[in-house]
Amino acid sequence: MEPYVTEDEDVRKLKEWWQENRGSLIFGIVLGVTVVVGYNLWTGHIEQRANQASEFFDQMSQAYEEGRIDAARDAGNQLLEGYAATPYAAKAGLLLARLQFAAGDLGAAQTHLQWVIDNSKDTAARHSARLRLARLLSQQGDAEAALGLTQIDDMGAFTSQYQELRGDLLLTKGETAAAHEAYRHAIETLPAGSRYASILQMKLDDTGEAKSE
Amino acid sequence: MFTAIRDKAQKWLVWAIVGLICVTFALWGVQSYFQGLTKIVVAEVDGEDISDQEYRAALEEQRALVQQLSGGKVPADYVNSEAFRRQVLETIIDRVLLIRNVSDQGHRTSDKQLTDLIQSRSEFQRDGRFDATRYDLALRNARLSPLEFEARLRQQNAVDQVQRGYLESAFVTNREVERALVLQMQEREMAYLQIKPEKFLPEIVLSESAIEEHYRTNDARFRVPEKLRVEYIQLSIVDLARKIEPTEDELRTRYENNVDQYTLPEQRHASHILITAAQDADAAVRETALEKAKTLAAQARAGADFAALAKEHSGDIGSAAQGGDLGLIARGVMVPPFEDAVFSLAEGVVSDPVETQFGFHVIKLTKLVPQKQKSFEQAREQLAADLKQERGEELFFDQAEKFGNLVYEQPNSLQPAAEELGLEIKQSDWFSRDGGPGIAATPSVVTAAFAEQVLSGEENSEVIEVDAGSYVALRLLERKPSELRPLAEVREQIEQELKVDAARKQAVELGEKMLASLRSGEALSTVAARHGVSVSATQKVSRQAAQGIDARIVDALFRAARPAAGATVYTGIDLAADGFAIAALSAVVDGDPAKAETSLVQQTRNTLLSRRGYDDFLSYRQGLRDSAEIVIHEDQL
Repeated sequence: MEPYVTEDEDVRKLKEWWQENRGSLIFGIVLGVTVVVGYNLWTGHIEQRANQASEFFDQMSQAYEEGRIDAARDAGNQLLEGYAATPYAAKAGLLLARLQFAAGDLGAAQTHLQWVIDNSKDTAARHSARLRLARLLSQQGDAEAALGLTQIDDMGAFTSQYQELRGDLLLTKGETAAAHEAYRHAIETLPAGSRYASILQMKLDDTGEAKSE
Repeated sequence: MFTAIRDKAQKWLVWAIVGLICVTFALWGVQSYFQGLTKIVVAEVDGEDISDQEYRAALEEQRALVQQLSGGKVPADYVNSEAFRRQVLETIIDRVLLIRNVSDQGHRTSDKQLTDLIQSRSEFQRDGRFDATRYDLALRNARLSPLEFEARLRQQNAVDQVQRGYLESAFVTNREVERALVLQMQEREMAYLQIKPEKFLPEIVLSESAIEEHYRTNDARFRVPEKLRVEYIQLSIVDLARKIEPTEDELRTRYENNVDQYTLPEQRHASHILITAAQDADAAVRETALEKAKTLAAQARAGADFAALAKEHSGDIGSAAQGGDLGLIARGVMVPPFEDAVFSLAEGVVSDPVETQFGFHVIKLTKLVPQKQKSFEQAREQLAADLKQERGEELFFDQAEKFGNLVYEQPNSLQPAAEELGLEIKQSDWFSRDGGPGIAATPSVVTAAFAEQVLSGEENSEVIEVDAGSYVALRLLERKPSELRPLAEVREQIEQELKVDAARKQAVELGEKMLASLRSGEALSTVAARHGVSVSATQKVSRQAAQGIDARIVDALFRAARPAAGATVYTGIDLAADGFAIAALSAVVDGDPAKAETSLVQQTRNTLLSRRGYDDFLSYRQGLRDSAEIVIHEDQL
């Protein structure tokens, strides 16, 4: 580039530059604005859906607390059908399972729990559903299927509950020593703040080996 | 060729950069450019700082709460302890993790939900309805902007939703309940003996040096706690109301404007005839009673004398003699069906039979004095009281803000606030962290008085809300440091402690020796007799009933392994100050769920249910902790 240029030349160069880059500049600005507006519209939509789902959840929860079971079920079904992408759907699945369980329809309860296991993005909700499903199977006498559900690699922070259930199931199969070990493991992995230790301790003590001194 | 590439690259670059800049501004906004003020950090959660300020505020809040819940009975040592501080910090960390995860997952609180939440809170209500002034005042008192508070409320609500989601959906199967019942109703056959320290007490001799040693090493236990005296000012509705003298005109105006608030309530006199029939009686018996009641009602309506009928037939001995007269009946005294009947009858009318747990009643409303306006003179006292209360409240809400500002802005003295608002500066008695008489009986006042800023004597306390209608601010008058009591004063206590401790050790020693003999096969009675200890009778013990046996013994008994058939399992139990016990377990009898009482089944189910649901939530929370990177700066706690 020339080290010394006149003012006229400056203006001319600027004009030339403008001629050359005008298209790209305008395109860039339009693109930027479109991305921003589009992003805002999209997040706005997601937020709105989340807010609606939250209100449905409150309706469901309140109806349940007040004993209006049909209303609770309606709100729950709304969440499952229309808001499956929100975290409230898993809560609806869990509550509907309980309602079906209370009504004696264990099959429908299982379907709801299985839905949560298959569809929820929330690890904790999936563990919770899995454990509840296993307990239902155990209640129906299918200890093998229940045990199968507890055989997973990553029990996460739900290890204690899985181990307790394993203990219960092993005990029904007469494997007292293995049950004792499972209960011990369950006590050691209780989540912070739990008040469940006394029941586990009871189960642990009861399966202890006799030291017949 | 190079130029061509460069030109193309330039064009591409130009619009890409412009696009990027637009996005950057839109997404990040301005606030990130203004951060960078230095602050003390007590912990980091995945890189997110927890500030010292937030931590101190939570600490103070928890201390006040603990004191309030326990009525000031929690020792100061506890709320100042390392463990307590740590626990408060853990709570904050959990909250940070929960709030973030809940929001990431997509939990939201809508504007409508937020409004409902705020309006339903009793602390923002006046006469049962939301009051904007109260809301503003409460937030200002807590030094929160509405924006901050509302954001917190939204977050809290989302966390609550998750917790409720787990709690409400939890269920417990019959199999689980039965298993718990088998264990809970289990009985164990046992005999036990207790070796009491008293057995060894008379033989124990203490050395002078041991006493002195104990006095020196347990310094903290033989201290008189630190005490304070404070001066304080109090702004309260009661005090403000007392000073108000309503004029005759004001009373009249209020009477005229609110005349329907000042009434004499409606009065109803009733008589009844009771035909007794127990609720669990035969259907036939109840039918006969009802028929009789119907006949009596018909007779009364046909003109028979109600009083005479009552005297002859009523099963309510007390009122029958008075012709069934029950006198004046106010609401809320009689059982509901009876009350409903009385309050729906017109004067002089006889009811159809009304069923209650006592039987069937035929009721006659003998006299109805309708609700009446009070005259001005009758209402005068209540008018004055209402007016005082109302004015007092108005004044209080007017002055509360000024009170807070004066105390806060002129931290070196209470004088300006006292003068400006015409309050008296009062002085408290001596009190420790455990509270004291008068104003120090309120735990939040004590907590505020022992806060750093006040203890140093330099600053006024924060404004303390003693209750909804009363604020207090205080500053230090005098401080008496904690001091060691002289040895002579505590000598007796020390001797007692040391003797009991030595005796206790001997009891444990003997116990262990006896256990060894028992486990090598000797009989309980033989071993006990050899050492002069008496053995209880062999009995069946359940978990629930205490049966006069030390709970620690029962507990250990149920922790013992099941004995093989015909064998006995011996367990030694250290009873601390009560010595040592040995339990001999000879048999275990499992519970039979079929024999459980309904209430026990229900209770067991509920216990399992609430724990199960809560544990799901706790496990969820624990999961967040396990996968988070948490750094705690211990030195800043």
